Amino acid sequence: MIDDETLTLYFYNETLTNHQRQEVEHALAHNSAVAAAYAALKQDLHALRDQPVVRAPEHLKYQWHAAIDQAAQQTPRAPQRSRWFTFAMGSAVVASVLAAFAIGTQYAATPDAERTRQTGVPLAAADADHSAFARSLQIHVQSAAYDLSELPDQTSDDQSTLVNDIVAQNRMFERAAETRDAPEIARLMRAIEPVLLRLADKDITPQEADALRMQLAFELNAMLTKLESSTSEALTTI
Amino acid sequence: MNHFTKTLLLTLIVTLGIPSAFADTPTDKDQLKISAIESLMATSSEKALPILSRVMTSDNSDVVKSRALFVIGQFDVPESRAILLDLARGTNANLQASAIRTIGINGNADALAQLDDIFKNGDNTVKQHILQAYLIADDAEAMFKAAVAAEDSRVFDSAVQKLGAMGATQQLKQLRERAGTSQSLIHAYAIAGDTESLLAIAKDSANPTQQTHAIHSLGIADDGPKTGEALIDIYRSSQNDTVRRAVMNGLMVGDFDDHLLTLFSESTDQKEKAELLRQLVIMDSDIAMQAIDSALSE
Repeated sequence: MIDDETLTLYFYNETLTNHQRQEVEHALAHNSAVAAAYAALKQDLHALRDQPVVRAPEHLKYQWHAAIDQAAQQTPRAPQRSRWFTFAMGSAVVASVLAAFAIGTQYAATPDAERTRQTGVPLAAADADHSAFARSLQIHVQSAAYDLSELPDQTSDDQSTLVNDIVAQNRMFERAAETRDAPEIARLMRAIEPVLLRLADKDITPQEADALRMQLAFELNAMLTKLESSTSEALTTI
Repeated sequence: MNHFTKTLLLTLIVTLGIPSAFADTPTDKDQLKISAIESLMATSSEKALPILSRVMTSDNSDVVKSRALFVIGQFDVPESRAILLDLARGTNANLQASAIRTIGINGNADALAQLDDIFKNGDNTVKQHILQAYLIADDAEAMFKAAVAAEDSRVFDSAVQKLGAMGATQQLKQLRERAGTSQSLIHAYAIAGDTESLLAIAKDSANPTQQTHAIHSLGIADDGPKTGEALIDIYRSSQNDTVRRAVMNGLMVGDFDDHLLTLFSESTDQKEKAELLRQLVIMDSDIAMQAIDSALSE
């Protein structure tokens, strides 16, 4: 008998092997009990899908962020590096990880009282929000880097989709930097976007890619140095 | 699909505008200089700017000078802006492009305002670099002025596309009032999500080409069911086959399968019904099954 869990996975078209899928399809065609169970399950899952998405209360979000931070500290992730690590992937990793650091540093450079005044949100809550932002940016970069490394193996349509996703997410982080009162980060993200896109271009030569990667790394490093310097000045003043 | 199309268009807009100096690989000797330049980021402008100025006037490669320019741009003082503007007005195309980009990254309003004269006197390549700097600085007003001043249609179209990417709906509306509707403006409205302006053009049958273009763009801009309702109203009130086909495409692009089914149900013309059914099937919509059932039971 096919259980509900398998039917649910079948419904969402996830993680079943071809053999398992064939088993489910055979059971649905020949076993009326399974077919009835699947029909009922489908109805429930469609009803769930139609539920309106309700925004989570702020206090719950802060609790989630804190829990995720705690879990992240307990199990630090090793940097991802694979045999597909190419110049394009390297450039994307450098770009986004440094950008994530830069935003984190910029945030650290802002005095606590000023942060509370600017956002109107209690400091602990704001901390959770910002660290979640920096973490999200790092995750975006890691997945963008992986996607860029896979580009040469993709069909032309898939390549367009991947690049569009990266651009869309870059823009999302740019907007996030703006709302966190870090316009210099937002401007830099807008400036590096064409460079990232050029790096993702399949017609790029290794020499050009190498040169662009170095330019990108320099600009992000320079920004990081500037922000770190601001932090030191703030600490000296205190 | 809307999100994909919009992002694809945005990608095309930002792909231009990388200074060619970026594609040069620094030599080992350059690398040492570049490391030294980077370390100047941690010092004050009083100490760093005289050294960086010397780098710019000495016999260094464009790669080294381009890196120095970026660091100069990080100091928000009049001296650094003077160096950047001087190079932006200069004759070395590589460094000119780098300086203009750095002014965009620096974001200083006075320096950005001074790009205005360079834009008016520059060739199309310089103009494109300046538009890119306005985009980086998110300066919609400067972009608007550049669009107004553009004499070449490609420069105008590029400025309009960037305004769309910036979501500058007010400036786009003003452009329409001054220069009339153009295909690039319709495009920009779609990118900016300005369905109000698109609807106004879509309902105006005086220029069928622009009307059909706006109808198709409404699908990309997708402002929810309201857009779908407006599109089927245009469909019902038009007898023009081209306009009706544009509405069908707009509904398909906007994933308005409910609205296509409504038109299918209302239609008494077998050929038209077959066309609407074909669109529903192309959308791979669950609703298509209802239409197929209905067609088979007739």
